[in-house]
Amino acid sequence: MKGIIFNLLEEVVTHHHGEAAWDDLLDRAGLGGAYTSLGSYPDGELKVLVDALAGVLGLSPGECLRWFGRAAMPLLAERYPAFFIGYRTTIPFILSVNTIIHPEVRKIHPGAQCPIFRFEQAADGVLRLGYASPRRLCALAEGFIKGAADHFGETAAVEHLRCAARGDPECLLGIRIQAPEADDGARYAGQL
Amino acid sequence: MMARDMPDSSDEAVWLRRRLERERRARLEAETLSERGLRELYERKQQLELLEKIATAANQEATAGDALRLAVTEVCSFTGWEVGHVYRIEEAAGTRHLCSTGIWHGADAAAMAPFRQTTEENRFACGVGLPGRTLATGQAAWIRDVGEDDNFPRGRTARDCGLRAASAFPVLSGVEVVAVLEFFARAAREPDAALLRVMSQIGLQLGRAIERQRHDESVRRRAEELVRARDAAQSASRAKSEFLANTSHELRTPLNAIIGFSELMMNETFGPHSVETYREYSKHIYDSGQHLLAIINDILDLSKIEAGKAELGQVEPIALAWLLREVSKPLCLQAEQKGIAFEIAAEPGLPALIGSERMVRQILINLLSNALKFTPAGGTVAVKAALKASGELVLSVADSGIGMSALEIAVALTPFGQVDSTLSRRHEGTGLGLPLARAMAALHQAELNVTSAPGAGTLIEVVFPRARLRPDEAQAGALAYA
Repeated sequence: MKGIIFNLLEEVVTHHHGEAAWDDLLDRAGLGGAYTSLGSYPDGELKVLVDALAGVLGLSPGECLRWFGRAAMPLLAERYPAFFIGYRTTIPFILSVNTIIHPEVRKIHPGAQCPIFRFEQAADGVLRLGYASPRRLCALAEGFIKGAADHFGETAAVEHLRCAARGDPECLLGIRIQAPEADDGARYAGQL
Repeated sequence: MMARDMPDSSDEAVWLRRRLERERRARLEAETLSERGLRELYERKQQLELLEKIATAANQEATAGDALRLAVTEVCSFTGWEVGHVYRIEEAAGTRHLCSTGIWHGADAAAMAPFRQTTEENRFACGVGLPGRTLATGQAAWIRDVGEDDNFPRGRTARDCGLRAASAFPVLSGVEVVAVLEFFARAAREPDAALLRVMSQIGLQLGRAIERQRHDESVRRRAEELVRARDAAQSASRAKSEFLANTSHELRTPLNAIIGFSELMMNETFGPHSVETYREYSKHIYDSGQHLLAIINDILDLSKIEAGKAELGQVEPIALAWLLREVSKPLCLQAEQKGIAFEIAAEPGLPALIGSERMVRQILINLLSNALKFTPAGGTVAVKAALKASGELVLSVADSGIGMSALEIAVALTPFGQVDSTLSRRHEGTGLGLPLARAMAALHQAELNVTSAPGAGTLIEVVFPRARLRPDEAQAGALAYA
């Protein structure tokens, strides 16, 4: 797992819960916590941190990942504005992940194991996103999608049509962009 | 809320906090710098790989079209531009236009058909539209959004096909634009300085491919012209030789009658002439007829050889010592009359030469006649047969005559080449003797070499290969003619 994910987690936790909260998490997880965006770290460390976070917040690890992904998007937009230029809505931005964003990631991290998403745009307006990764981070993907929708002033409803966590061979997310409505994202984040 | 006891707001805690914040910012900055450096390195590497691929293609693809096709595909995959296309230059009445080459990348979808069609139907003059701008300036042109550009005639169709950004790059041979590449993206794009730099290098590489193709084409055209000219000349030469071969027959028939009847008259076969002058005249007619017949025979032989119709015919073992003496008999007399020393030398124990006796005899007569003709009184003519150390047999005729320059040798070896009026005036002859000797030698796989210089005499050697010799016949030949 790339250090940037750990950096984002640190920033999100620090931003919402203060610096001491991150130190506390590291202590609970038994990790040193010296992460740089240029480095790579064992996938297990992210899991340990998320589990610790879940314990502290009284949420499931999945809920933690969703929250993390959604809250990390503004930080990503600040750090990598080039990825967002030229997009005005959520769906085209999501569709650019395989062909634009991940190739850019590989430029900086030659060995990065970026997931490859399978896209299928159905007539009913639902974008189906197939995700197969041994890391099983579909909840993080859902969080990123919702965060991207927030960025473009839209709301995304994400349904796990199939999920590896439920024993399916791979995850399939159904994404529907909803008409703008009262955003519960901030409320959700605020609860945590 | 997860929390731990915050440090005291003592001075040290404030100092530590500020220091921590500084360190954090420094780390972020270092990461950003490193990421930028890594990205630039990666992109530079990609650019170099792209350039290398295109340079290789420009130098190795069979045609410039293949190199351009590969370049457009590679550039699209490198830049993410979805569509690429190549124009060629069309010159008419001193004006240069750009026309489609039909080389496209990423334009196969049915939705792209209208744009493709309008592009292929258009011819762009200097300064007109995107490619015309590049043709006019020899520089790259960039359109952020085709919908916002007022010098882009295909704007509406391009927008309908979902194209937004456009760019054009020249392919240059020196400073001359020899082709133009254009690319389109589905999203608006700002000009990219790094890409412009790479594309200018690509333009130069592809220019070389086009130069190479132009050069190859001109070489091929020249070669084709030469082949055509050669074929025409060969066929004309063959036709001439066939004509000569045929007419020589036609000439000989009446000539035989002239010679035959003049001989009867000269010999007064059917009664004496009333006046002595008639007898002299008939001798003149007879001599002239014989001379003419000799010339016609030479022409006939040479024409046959040139027309590719000559064959060795009957071959037999020839005893050269004997043949040399035979041929020399009448010529010795002629030499004596002219005051020329005549030498004959045949190495003892020579192998027999397997060949046409008639032709070898003719070769010797022609070479010796020339030697006598061009050697003044007091000179020497020597004919010799000998074996070389390498086993080949050499028949040589050497004289101490006027000799020839290199140019004169070349002329003398060319059939009908003795056109130098002074020579032909001074020395009678058709100039067929040497070419005929060489052609007859060639029928024996023998080489005829001429060594000469003005005033230094002439040496002519006919070198017969070992395959034409038969040592075991030597004795037999010598015995037979002893």
